Amino acid sequence: MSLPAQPPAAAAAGTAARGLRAARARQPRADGEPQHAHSRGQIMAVRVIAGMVILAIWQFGAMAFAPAYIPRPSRTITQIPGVLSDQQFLSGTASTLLAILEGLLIAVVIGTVIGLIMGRLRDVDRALRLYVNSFYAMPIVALVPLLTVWFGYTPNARLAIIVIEATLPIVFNVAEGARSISGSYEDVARTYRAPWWRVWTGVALPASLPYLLGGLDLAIGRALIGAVVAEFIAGLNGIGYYILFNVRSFHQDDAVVAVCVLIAFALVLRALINLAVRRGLPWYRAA
Amino acid sequence: MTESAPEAMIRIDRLTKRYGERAVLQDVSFDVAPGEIVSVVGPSGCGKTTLLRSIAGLAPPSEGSVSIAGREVTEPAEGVAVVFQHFGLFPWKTVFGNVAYGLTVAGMRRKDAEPRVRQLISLVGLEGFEKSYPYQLSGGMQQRAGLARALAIEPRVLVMDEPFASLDAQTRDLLQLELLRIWEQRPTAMVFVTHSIDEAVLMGDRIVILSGRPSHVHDIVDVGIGRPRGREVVDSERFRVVRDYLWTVVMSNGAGQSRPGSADEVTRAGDPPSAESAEGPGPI
Amino acid sequence: MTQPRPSTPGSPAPGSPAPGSPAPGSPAPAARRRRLRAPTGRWRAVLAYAVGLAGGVVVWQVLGSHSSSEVFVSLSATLSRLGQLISDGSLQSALTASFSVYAVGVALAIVTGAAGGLLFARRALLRLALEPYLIALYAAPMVALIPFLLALMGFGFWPKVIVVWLFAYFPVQFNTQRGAQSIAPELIDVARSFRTRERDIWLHVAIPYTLPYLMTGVRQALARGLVGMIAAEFFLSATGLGSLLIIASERFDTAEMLAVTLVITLVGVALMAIGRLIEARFARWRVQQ
Repeated sequence: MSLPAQPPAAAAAGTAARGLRAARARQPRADGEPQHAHSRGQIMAVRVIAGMVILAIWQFGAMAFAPAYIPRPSRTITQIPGVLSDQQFLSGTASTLLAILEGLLIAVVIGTVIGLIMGRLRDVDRALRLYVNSFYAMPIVALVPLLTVWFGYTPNARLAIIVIEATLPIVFNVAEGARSISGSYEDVARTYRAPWWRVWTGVALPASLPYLLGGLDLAIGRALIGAVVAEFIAGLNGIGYYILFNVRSFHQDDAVVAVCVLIAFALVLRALINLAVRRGLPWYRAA
Repeated sequence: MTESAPEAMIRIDRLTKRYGERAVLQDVSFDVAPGEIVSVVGPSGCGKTTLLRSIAGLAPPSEGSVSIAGREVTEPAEGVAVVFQHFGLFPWKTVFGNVAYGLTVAGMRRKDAEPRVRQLISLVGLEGFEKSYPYQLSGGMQQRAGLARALAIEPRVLVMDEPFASLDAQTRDLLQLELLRIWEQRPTAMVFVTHSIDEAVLMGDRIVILSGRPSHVHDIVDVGIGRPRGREVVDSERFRVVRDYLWTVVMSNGAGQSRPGSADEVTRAGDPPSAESAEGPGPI
Repeated sequence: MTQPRPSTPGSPAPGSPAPGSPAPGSPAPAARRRRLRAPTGRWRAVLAYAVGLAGGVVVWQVLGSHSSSEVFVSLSATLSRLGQLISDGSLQSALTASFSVYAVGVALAIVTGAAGGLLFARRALLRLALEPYLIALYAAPMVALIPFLLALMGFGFWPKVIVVWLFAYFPVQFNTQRGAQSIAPELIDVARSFRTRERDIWLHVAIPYTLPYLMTGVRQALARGLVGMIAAEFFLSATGLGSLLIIASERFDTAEMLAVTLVITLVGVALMAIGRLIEARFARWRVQQ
């Protein structure tokens, strides 16, 4: 005797998930022990200690096993003030930074426009899909040599690669965002007789913003890679080139400082994006 | 307790469970006879689930003990099967794989397990869905699979943690009766935790009422309705009486409220019915 | 049509879909399709794709024919150069060289990344202590480390493999870790209630649960590893697709550059498709989100 069974998958998933969440909310923890949160101080301490251990391993490993020119923490740290006041470093860093920001800005504008168009106009989306997907799938750095032929060994080549690298994820994400706007928002706009451009700016654009920022997040990483590769190949003044130059001239510790600055740069930019999301889009909640 | 009284299948003796400083269960004691269903009710958050986890061996007692067939339980015991509120099916296993899980993990080969697994799958009404994944099943179907999985190991003790709480009302009604029907074929000692009073009365032979913080046994009630039970039980006089009593006790704030007049009609049952006085429903 | 998935902010792993984001794919039930017209709609779609493809071809051909060959060449010229590269074997040897580096590097990254992810998921102390450093490394542009590798190890196979590994490792570790960490304790409960031994919990619960996450990491690693491979070949190599590009650029041989770029694009598309297939195959049991 079996009862007819209808499997509404979505409902089932929701049901099970609800049950799970409720169960989890009630239980202290699976093994019955209460969770103790570590205090912030404790966490910080553990991390600092871990950092020191890493530095120590690096230091002694380098001293014991590696040739003398290999960077080690003792020298790297002492070089920091020197590097930070080095004219070449400062101008290079500024150059790269400005190129990134400029490139990102251009990419945001171009990417948003194309993305919105693709998201809203199905036909354009289909026509351009092939190219967007192909470019997204390929390693964009492969274009750098070509760009150096077109732009020469000039900062324009670097700017070009940054723009291309950054535009793609933005187009991609904005298109997805614009496309997935619930029809009900559109209906609301229509019942208020909003003209098409208002729908675009008033509904499509704000709804796409979280996606835009997500794309920007991705774009930063890619842009940095492109910039460094361009600087390497074209010998442009920049933080990437500074690294290359100093490694080649056996000032590897200086180069390490520059790498750390580069990483810090990447982290700060991404943190800014996250901040922008939290502050500027309070209505958007990530799970 | 006389010599000819059947040994309790589950004995919970002054069970106390603490998490850190906070006691969740305090001095809980009751027995479950072989082939008896004991429902456990109480307000939300009163530790019913903790009690179950102690029986299932997932949460060792802070004080007191839980014994199954005479052996003390500190870790998951043999012959104990749990049915979870959240179904707990492994999403990456098919229905077959899930139902067979208890057997697989005990070392049985798939070929040997197959006949029993298939039989159980059809027993719970999931024939044809052996190869489906949990995400393809409704909540009710998932819980049927959970039940089949529990039964597959031919347990001596069934532990049910609000098994139907995550289901819609209709499915729940259906599955309650399904469970009773299936249970009838092989009556097993069962502890059935629920926050639904109706469900507790429908399912149980006796009802343990937990209340207070920390929870203790406020009362144990003899349901006094015979088996097999069907849908019609819900309309019976006895059902109404027991239900009303429970409602008043459980729904009033906290423990220690005075019992209403109808209390006289409802029995307090501290021990499982002994073989000598097996007279059916009525005061012991 | 399969596509890579967009990312939304707040997701720790850029490039992977964020759960609960404004629903790429699970919109409010009211999401409507715009004016669905049955047969015409289909033809219209095909037409749109065709127009896009044709447009690209035409633009390429026209632009190429009207520019000097140092700047741009036509599609036909590109394809004929590609034919040349194939017939004289240089494309094949470049592909072989590139792919041996790539395969070894990515394979190592997957193995070590999975292990690392599981390790970090299990050892809370390790995770807590090293998390900020790992995040920093994940965000770091690994290209910047190439000069150091060049100085340390020179040209060759292994330096390139290391670069590919550097690019591909972190997405694998990150995603695996995320998966292993997120195993619902309820499922462990279930396993324990059936008296499952520790080893079997790994086999029956932890690993199957984590596998789809690992595959997401693999998909990302495939893409990132490719970038690493090309970058490594720019600087650490005399063989491979990347070095073909560099050499051609020094000769201003745009036809060759375009031909090789085309090949790289095809490779990239193929890898992405494989990555997505693998990911989907292992995510079969996941609730559609």
